[in-house]
Amino acid sequence: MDAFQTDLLDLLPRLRRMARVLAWEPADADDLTQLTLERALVRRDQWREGTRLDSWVFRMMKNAWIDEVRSRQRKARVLAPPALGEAVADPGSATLDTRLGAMAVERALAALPEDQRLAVAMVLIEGLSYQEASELLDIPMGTLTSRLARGRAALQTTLLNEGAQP
Amino acid sequence: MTFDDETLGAYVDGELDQTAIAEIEAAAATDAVLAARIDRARRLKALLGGAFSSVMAEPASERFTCVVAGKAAPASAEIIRFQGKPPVKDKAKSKAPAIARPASSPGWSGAGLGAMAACLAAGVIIGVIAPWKTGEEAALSPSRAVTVALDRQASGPNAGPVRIGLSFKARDGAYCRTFSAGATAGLACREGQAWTVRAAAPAATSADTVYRTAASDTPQAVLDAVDAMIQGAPLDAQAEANARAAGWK
Repeated sequence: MDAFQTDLLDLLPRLRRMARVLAWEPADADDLTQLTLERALVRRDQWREGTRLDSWVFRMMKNAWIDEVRSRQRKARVLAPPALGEAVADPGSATLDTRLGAMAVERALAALPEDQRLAVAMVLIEGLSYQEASELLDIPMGTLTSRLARGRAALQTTLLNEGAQP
Repeated sequence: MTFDDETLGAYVDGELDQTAIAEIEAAAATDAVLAARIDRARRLKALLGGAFSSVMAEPASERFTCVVAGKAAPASAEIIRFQGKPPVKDKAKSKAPAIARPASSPGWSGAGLGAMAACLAAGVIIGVIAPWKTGEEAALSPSRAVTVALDRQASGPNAGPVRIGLSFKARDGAYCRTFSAGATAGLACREGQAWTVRAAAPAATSADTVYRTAASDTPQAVLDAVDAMIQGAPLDAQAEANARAAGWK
């Protein structure tokens, strides 16, 4: 494996996390992760050395989500509603409290409008700067900050008043 | 002095300059309401970050490491054949698709030749096979998208990511269907409640457009596997619809 591939693998935990935030169901999240990795490899020539690989790949995942997986998920969901909270509630990996907290977070995120969810995911979960996130999402900085503020307010109301304390 | 939510958010996110930070911190020192608002924003951020720690801690699965590693390998033009039902051993080799797949799943960081060999095979079937199950007798299950198509989609042209080529009944009584998904085409058969991939090969690429006739973009190798397994003729549209309605049993 070359440096690009190694760097890509180093990003894998963060990619899987982002996929869970976007796609919600573990199986869809894993498909989204795989699709993103495939696209990154196919388009590796488009990545400019010296720029941030993580932003580049996250953008790819966002697009893959919007282009492919989301529509598929919507169709499938008509027939098979998702098992709420299944995603991070994998047994044995955390205490019950942590799992319940994680489920509450997933539910709250899933309830956000998608534009707010993307902003929250990139900044509050992924820790990207406002500049990076607005470029990645192709939105002006002011749009990003207002979506963030609305998303944050909704999540605080849901999560910090619901008893899901950290 | 009052601060709006966007400003406080920017403070918590580390997006403010030194002057603005100093203003907020000075104000929060004497303003309990402001301090509480900052505290809530901080707690939310901590909660969001912590919620996915178990996802972050999961070891990299072979599914993904092979996707990344597999592309480094020269693409194989060979059909990849899988062990079908676990009990099928040597006797099936001459006809039904059956070839040993790598038995072990060493971590990529070991990067031994064995690991790369496992990934070489996986590279060709990107996008089709769900997480690799380890162990010699593991059957291969198709990815979710392919499974949905196998369950519900009619044979023939389709705008979606997965195309079903044809459906047929195998000599052992199971329903089987050919599919193509992205760079891969294959053959899956219904075993009990699930589909098992019996064969897969690289799909016709864009370079092969001459051969992508209406009849088929199914690779010859997959068609050969169909020939080896089929009982009678492929299902017509009505028979296929009936089989689908009956849950492929």
